[in-house]
Amino acid sequence: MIADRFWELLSKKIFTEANEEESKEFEELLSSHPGWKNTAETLFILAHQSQPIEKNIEAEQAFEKHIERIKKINIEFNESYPSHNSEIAFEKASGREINTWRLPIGILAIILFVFFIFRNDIVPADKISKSQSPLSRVSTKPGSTSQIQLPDGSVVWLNASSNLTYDKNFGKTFREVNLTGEAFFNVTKDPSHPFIIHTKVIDVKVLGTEFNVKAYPNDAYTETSLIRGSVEVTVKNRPDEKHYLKPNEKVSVANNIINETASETARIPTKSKPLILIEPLTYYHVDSTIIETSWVENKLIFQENETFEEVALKMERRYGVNISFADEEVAQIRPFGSFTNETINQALDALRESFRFNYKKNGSNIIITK
Amino acid sequence: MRKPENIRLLQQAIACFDDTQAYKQLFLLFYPSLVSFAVSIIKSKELAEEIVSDVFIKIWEKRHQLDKVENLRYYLFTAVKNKCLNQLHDQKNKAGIDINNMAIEFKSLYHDPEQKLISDEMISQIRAAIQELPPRCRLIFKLVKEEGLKYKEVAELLQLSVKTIENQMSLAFKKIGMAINFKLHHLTNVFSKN
Repeated sequence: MIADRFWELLSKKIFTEANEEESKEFEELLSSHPGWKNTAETLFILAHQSQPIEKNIEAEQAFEKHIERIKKINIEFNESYPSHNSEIAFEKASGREINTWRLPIGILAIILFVFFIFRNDIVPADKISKSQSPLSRVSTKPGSTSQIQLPDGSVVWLNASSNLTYDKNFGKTFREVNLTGEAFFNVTKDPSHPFIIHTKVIDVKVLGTEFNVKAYPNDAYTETSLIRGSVEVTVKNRPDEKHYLKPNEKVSVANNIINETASETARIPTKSKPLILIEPLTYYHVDSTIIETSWVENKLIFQENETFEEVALKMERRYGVNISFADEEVAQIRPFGSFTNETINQALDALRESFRFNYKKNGSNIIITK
Repeated sequence: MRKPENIRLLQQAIACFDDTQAYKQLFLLFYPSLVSFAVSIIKSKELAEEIVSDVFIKIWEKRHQLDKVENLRYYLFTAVKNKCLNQLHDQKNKAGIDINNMAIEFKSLYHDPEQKLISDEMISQIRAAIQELPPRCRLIFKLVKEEGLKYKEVAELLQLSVKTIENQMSLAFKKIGMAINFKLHHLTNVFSKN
């Protein structure tokens, strides 16, 4: 019967089991029986409804029982791992008093050790050289970039006005670095030593991948863009919430997520944008360059998705200049264009022709006017 | 969350970072459906829970190889099935899957207020239609619809032919389709009266 065939093809179609011929047959069937279309559409919707996310208390209890069984047969299951962030560990300890006493001394030692590393970050460099784990520090000035090879062979491209530090324990258990500013990482694969990048608002944990982390204090967002492999992004004050990225995705975390008042340092406010946003990477429509990582190839690309004010921040870093706006309207223009070898004057002249504004340049200070 | 890419990422987090949070997420994701699947084979909730827990213990023990498992969803169901069959064999019961008389719940059928096309009433009508399906048909439909297994995987899991899965699926769709078709028909009548 033709109706039976319809049901068979419909179910195949919905669960992507239909081959090309069957798909064609299904289309033909639908066009000769328009009345079936409604049913087919409704079933499509129903079949692809996703489950509402609800806490399954029964499964949660079963998991606790399951962990007891694991521990009974002496299989290592370290629940505090991989939360090696000191803040996280302390938060957990105060939250569950009983667990505090059960924490093995070794874990406490790790917590203290990590805590110590964090402290290092705020101690001036000259004092660090005297401490027991001296920091290696690589910094770039505005207008210059740098390429570094880390002890494990990983390669890091450091964008302008950025700072990367790691200590002599790099690679012992974890490969940990601290970053302010922007860097592109090509991390060599080593499953037993996870590579962790600490920034002010997020920790990024990877195994062996290529990705970009942008964590300038005066930007509104800290961005992690993944080219290849996988990364795990944890927001500092939300240890239980992990974000896993797929290649060609980026996660933007608002820099004011940690402390609402801290956003005063960001020149451009976050407005009503969400605190955490996962979205695809952006491609330059002319040659499909990935915009997020284009700085590595010395390209500066704007594509109408940013205001001139945001673009100016990138230009400041790239050319080592200060840009200010004398006109709010001009600051909100959304320019587009791509620059590689152009000087700041050439770039501004080119933009001026298309977007009609004026600028005054005095040394490294640039004022943009109407 | 049950999308294959997400499961893949959980796998990587467990395999590469010994991530116990990811392990917990994986457990919570599959526990209910694996237990109900195991109950359908061994008819004991207690044993079923133990078997699923055993399978997850193995997963943790061998976590560093977890990255190599191509289709974890299918792997979990197969592992649970094999453990259940071994258990039955040990009990000197006849090994085989008897999927009659089992309660199969459908979690993913609910009324999404965003979907104006589908009403609460329609959902309950569909639920009723699913409940009336023969048990085997219901299980196959659940494994495809809710667990996202392919026809071929369900066939292997239940030791049936792919043709049988195709037939059972079209039977399920026919019954559900007739339930909502009636509803749609009913709706259009109401509108034409106005």
